[in-house]
Amino acid sequence: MSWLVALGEGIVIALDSLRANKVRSGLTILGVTIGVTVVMVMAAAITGINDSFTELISSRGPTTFYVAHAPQGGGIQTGTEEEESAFMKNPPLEPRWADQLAQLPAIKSADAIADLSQSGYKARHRDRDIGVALVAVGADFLETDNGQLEDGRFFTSTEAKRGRPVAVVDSQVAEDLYEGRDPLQRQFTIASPSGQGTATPFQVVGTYRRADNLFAGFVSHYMLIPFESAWQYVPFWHRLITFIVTPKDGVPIDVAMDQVEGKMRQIRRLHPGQKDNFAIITQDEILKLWGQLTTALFSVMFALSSVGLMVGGVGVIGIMMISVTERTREIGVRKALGARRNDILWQFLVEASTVTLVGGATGMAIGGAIVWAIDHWTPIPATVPLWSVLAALGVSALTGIGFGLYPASRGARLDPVEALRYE
Amino acid sequence: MDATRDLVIMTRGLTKDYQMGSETVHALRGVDLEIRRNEYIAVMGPSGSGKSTLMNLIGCLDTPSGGEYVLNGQAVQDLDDDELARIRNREIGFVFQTFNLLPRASSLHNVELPLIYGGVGSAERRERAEEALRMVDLGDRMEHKPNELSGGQRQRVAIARALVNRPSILLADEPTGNLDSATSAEIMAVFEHLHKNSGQTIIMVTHEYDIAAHAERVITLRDGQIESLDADITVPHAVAQ
Ligand SMILES: Nc1ncnc2c1ncn2[C@@H]1O[C@H](COP(=O)(O)OP(=O)(O)O)[C@@H](O)[C@H]1O
Ligand SMILES: [Mg+2]
Repeated sequence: MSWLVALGEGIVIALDSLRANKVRSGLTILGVTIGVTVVMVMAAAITGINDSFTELISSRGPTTFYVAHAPQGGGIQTGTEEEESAFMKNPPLEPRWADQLAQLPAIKSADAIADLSQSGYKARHRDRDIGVALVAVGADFLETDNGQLEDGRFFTSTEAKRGRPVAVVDSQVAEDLYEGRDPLQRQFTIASPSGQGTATPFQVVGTYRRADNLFAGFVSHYMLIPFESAWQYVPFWHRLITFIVTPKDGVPIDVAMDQVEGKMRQIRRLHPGQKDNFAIITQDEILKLWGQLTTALFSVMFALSSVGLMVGGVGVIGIMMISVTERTREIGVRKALGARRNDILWQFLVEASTVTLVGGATGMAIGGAIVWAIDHWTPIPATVPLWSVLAALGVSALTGIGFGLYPASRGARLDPVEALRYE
Repeated sequence: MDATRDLVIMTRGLTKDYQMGSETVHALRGVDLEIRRNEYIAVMGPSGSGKSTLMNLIGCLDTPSGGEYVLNGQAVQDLDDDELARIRNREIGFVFQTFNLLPRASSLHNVELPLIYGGVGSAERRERAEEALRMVDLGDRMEHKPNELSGGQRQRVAIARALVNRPSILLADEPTGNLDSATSAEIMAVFEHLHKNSGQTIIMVTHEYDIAAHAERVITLRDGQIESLDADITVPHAVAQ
């Protein structure tokens, strides 16, 4: 009963003393605000990115895996030294090996692809030159991709096999290259990063919209061409060649991987004792890598918000020490009227958590606004997960309770007679 | 038999020492006291004679350094903090010289405080607090804050607060010390009324003879000891102003 009244009282008193001590409370609130804002934004971003990632992965089918010339770690900062050197030492894959893998009994399809989206290729039409994210893929690309064909058609398997110079482009390519005119059947040439153009013109056969996904969103001016045509007409770094392998329905993924590994060793002419000089990468591993990355992000978030909360916490101690001192006499009166230690303790803890919760609420508002902005203006699909709201509230209340505990217990332990004599 | 059953307060050899650095101050040096139900007592004595110290011990705000204290038949000298808080809440009503109201709270809320710590539900709490305020003629000042009230009104709020939990003892340490004589008379009238109508034991510290004259019995202290358990204060100079 008395705790409930103290709750109301504590909140009122806390808001009152916040108003009275603006600088001190401002600093405290700021600290907690920063802490909570960081928690909210990072949690939202990580959740958003995670969702995109899982969605992307699962659209490929869970058993699809990849063959690359070296572990993917080489491309991402988390790779070990061994992986880094393998990335440069292992010979690249050759596209024709994909056909050999496709012949394996456990394998439904194996296609060579090359993601040249980061490599700085340009599309050229008359005097126009625009940067494109070029990806060389197989004819059944759309089966494992969430994107949609908007107009025209995708390239056929014959075109893919023969390496016909055809392309499917997104609306931005169409607009920038052809000034908004219908891009279908129009031609362009591809220029390598060094500026050298292909002699053979490519023809647009379809337009395509990438799935709304974080990893799609980062890339605009997206352009798909048959892998074979890239192989024939576009000079590129062969270490970017990857095989995308899909096992036959009902075949366990490890059976398929065993067969692929054996075949690859045979192709690479490896002796029994030698290590693989290529890598088989499952989506699990990609997810694991991603997991490591999010763990790192979480640590950063933890560190940043801890700093903010520490600042807030120290402020709480200050504010509450002053509040306890200023109200020494009040504590004496309350004790004379029958308040027990815990009543006083609770009163000040409520006050302390009110201060930090104000900071927390401010942090959630700011964090929410930032998340909204990220969601609207960047490709990261950020949403505020419920747990982060609860965590933010919990963390700010706990900061108040944790750091308020010392001042509060000082107040609770005051001797009533001395407290009443305090001037 | 009858006399002991009626005892509200009984102390035996009550002492209280304060440590001031290396020096020990003997504020009370063995006080034997018996106070019966519904007595109206004034405590007098020079400044520093131990009046407030005695009141604090009687009110269970403090624990004695030695001796025995039996309150309503219960020995309280060895109780812990929370048990003392409970006794203060149930048995004791304090009225202070400086009122000691919570400055930011309304009269009503100030009066509700003992009920809050006594665990009384909100509806009953409000009702009883309003009743106590009406009893001290402040029915129309319930929502006023202390700084919106006169000194006499503040002290009446404090009295209402002291009475709201129907304690057996009302302790007032120089309740009129901060009031002018007209207001003091007003407060004394309230005490008078309480004494006649509600059966509480009233113990009041004062150094004004005309205030002490309202009491049935005057106890005087000197140097931490009882000087007289029933002093005669009908001295001429006290009556003349
Ligand atoms: N908390 C304390 N610490 C030290 N000495 C005290 C304390 N309280 C009271 N005293 C001393 O005890 C004696 C009695 O004080 P008090 O009971 O307040 O006297 P009175 O109320 O009669 O004026 C005084 O000498 C006073 O200085
Ligand atoms: Mg005194």
